[in-house]
Amino acid sequence: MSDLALKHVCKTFDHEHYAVKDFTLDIPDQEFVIFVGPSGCGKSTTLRMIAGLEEIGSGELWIGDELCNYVEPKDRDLSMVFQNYALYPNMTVYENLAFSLKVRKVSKEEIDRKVHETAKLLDIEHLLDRRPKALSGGQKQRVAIGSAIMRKPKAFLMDEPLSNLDAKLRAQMRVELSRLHKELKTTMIYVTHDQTEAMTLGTRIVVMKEGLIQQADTPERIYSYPVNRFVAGFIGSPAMNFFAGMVSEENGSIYIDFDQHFHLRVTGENEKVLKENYRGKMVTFGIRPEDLYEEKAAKERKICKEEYKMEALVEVREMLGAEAILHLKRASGSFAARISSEAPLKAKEMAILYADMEKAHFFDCFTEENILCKQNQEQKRNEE
Amino acid sequence: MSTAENAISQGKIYSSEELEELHRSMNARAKRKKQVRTVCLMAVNLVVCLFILFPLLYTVSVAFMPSGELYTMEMNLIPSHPTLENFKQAIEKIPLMRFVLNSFLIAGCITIGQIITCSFAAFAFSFLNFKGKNVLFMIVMATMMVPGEATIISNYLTVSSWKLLDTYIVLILPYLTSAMGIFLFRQFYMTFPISLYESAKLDGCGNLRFIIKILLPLTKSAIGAMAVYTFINAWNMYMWPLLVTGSDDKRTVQIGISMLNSVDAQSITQMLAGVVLIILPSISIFIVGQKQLIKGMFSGAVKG
Repeated sequence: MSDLALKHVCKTFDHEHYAVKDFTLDIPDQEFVIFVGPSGCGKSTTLRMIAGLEEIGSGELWIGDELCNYVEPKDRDLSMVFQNYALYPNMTVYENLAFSLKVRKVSKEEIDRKVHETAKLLDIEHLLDRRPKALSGGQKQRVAIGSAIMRKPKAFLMDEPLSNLDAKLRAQMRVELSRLHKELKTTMIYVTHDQTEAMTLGTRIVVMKEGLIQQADTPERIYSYPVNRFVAGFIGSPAMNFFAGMVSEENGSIYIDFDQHFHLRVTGENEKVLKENYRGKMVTFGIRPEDLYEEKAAKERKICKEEYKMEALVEVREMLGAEAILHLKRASGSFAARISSEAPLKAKEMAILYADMEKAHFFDCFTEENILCKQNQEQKRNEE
Repeated sequence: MSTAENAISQGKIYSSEELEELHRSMNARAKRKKQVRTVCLMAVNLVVCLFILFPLLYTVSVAFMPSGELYTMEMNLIPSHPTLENFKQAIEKIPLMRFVLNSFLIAGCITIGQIITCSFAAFAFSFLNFKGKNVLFMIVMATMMVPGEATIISNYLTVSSWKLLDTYIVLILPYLTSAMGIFLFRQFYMTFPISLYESAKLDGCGNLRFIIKILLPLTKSAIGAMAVYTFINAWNMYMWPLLVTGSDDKRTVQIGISMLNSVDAQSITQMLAGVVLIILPSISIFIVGQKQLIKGMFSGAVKG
C-alpha cells in the first residue's frame, strides 16, 4: 500500500486531441477517490493510464517512490474491476479468483486459503464451483471484485463497475463497496458518470470535463462549494437551476433582477462580493432544487419573505414517495424544485416558492467561475 | 359448417359444449393444414437432396457393381449382384493404405500447424497494437487473391533448390499457415471483450499464457471449424503432391487414385471403389465436426 501521484499527466489521441490535459493529483494511501464526469471527459483514460493499459503521453505517474510511467501493468501491483466484469468464462469462480495468484506461482495451499477467505468476505462461498455464465449480474460483480482483492494490491482501480447492474442491486453494491474499503484499508480509484455513486462512495471526488480537472474535493465541499457552473450543474439530482440576472442595489441591499417582476435579495457572503465587484453587471444565479421551499416549509425556516419569493407555473409534478419534484416554468426560464410530497402544489397551477438565499450560488457570466471561489483565489494570490 | 361455427357467424353467445366443439373443429383443421405443409416441404427437400447427392450415391453404387453390369445398354442405377471385388482389386493394385496413411500424416500436420500459426497471427492482429497493423493485415488478406497455380512453379523451384523434393516436409511446409485461417480466427477474436485481455495482463499473465489458458479454450468452435476445413483441403490436395512427389511411399491418396486410371489398368468400377475408400475419412471428419464448422464459420455473423 502506498501513495499515488499523477503529475501534469497528458494524453493525446491523433497528436492533436487532448483526452487528458495537465492532470495533477496526489492520492494518499487508503483514500477512495472518484473520477466523475460526462462521457468522453477522460476519466477512464486516466484510470487506464494508471493501470498501464494506456501509455502516458507526458507527465509522471508515481506509485510510492517509484516512477511508473514505463513499468509493465503486471509489475505495478494494481488490480482493476471492469465494467463488463472480465471474468474468464472457461474457468470456475474458484479458478477465476485463483488465477492471478497462480500466475505468480503462489503455493496451492496459500491460494486455497486466500480464495476461501475472499469468498467468505464477499459471501460467494457457495458459488465457487460455478462458471461465470451460471451467475447473476450481482454475483459476477462480486467475483470480479473478489479477483481484484485476492492479491492485496497497492490500489484498486474500478471502471464503472456498477453500471451493468439494476438500480436496486447498484444501491446494495454501493454499500458493499463502502464496507470493503473500510475493511481492506486500500486506496481505491473509482470511475463513474453517476454522480450519486460519486457522492455516496468517495472520500474525494475529482470532477472532470474535456480532459481537465474541474474540482477535486470532498463530496460535501463539491456539493456546497462548486468552483464553477459545470461542477454545480453536474453534481446533484435534479441539477442546479440557473438563471441569468443583473446585480442591483436598493436601500443598501443587493438584489438580483431576472425580469421586471422577479428579483431576489442576496444574502450572506455572496452579498459582499457582488456589492464590491458586480454591481450593474450580469451574473448567473444558481440554486439547487432542494433549496427551494413551499410556504409551510419556508415559514419553518424563516425565509417566507417577499424578497425570496419565486412564482411559477407547475408544468409537471413527479411523485418520488416522501418527496416530489416540481418542474416549473416562468418567463425567465424553466427550473425544478424538490419539495415535500405533502405540499399542496399541483400540476398546471401557479406555485409560490421561497429560495434559501444563504445556499445560493453566483457564477461569473464569462468565466463561469463561482464568484466566491474566484474572490478567495484572488485573495490567496494577493497574500502570496 | 358445423353448428358452433354457424353460431359464431350469427354472433350468438354459445354454451360450453358448443365452445368445445368449436375448439375441436378448428384444431383439427389447423392440424391438417400443418400436416399438408410439412409433407410438401419434405417432398421438395427430398427431391433437391436426391438431385444433389445423385453423383455421390451413384459413385457408391458403381463401386459395388461388377464391371460387366456397368457397360450394358440398360440403365443400372443399383447393382443387381453387389460385390466387394472392386475394393479388393483397388487395394491390391496400388498401395492405397500407404497413401491413406501419408495423406493422414500430411493433413494432420498441416491442420495442427495452421491452427497454431493462424491463432497466433490472429491474436497479434486483434489484441496487440503495433505500427502498420492494418496494412500488414491487408497484405495478408491480399495473398488470398493470388491463385495457387500462379505460385506453384516458383514454389517448386524454391523447394527443389533446398533439395526437399519427394519428402514429407515439402508436402507440409508451404501449407503451414493460411490467410483464410488468420482471417477466420481474427474475426472470432474480434468478438472477444478486450477487457478480458487487459484483466489478464493486470493479473500478470503473459501473451502466450493468455493464448493457451484463456483464448484457445474459449475458441474451441473456431478451432473445430478451422480443423475440419483445413483437414479436408489438405486431404484433397492434388497439384502440389503430384508435382513434388515421385515415389510411392510419399504419394497421397488423390495421386494414388489417379494411378488406378492409367492406360493399362482402366476400370471405372475399381477407381470409384478407390474413391469411396478415400472419401470415407474426410466425410467422417466432416460429420464429426460439422456442428463446430457451422458454428465457427458463422460466429460473429449474427452476434452483436
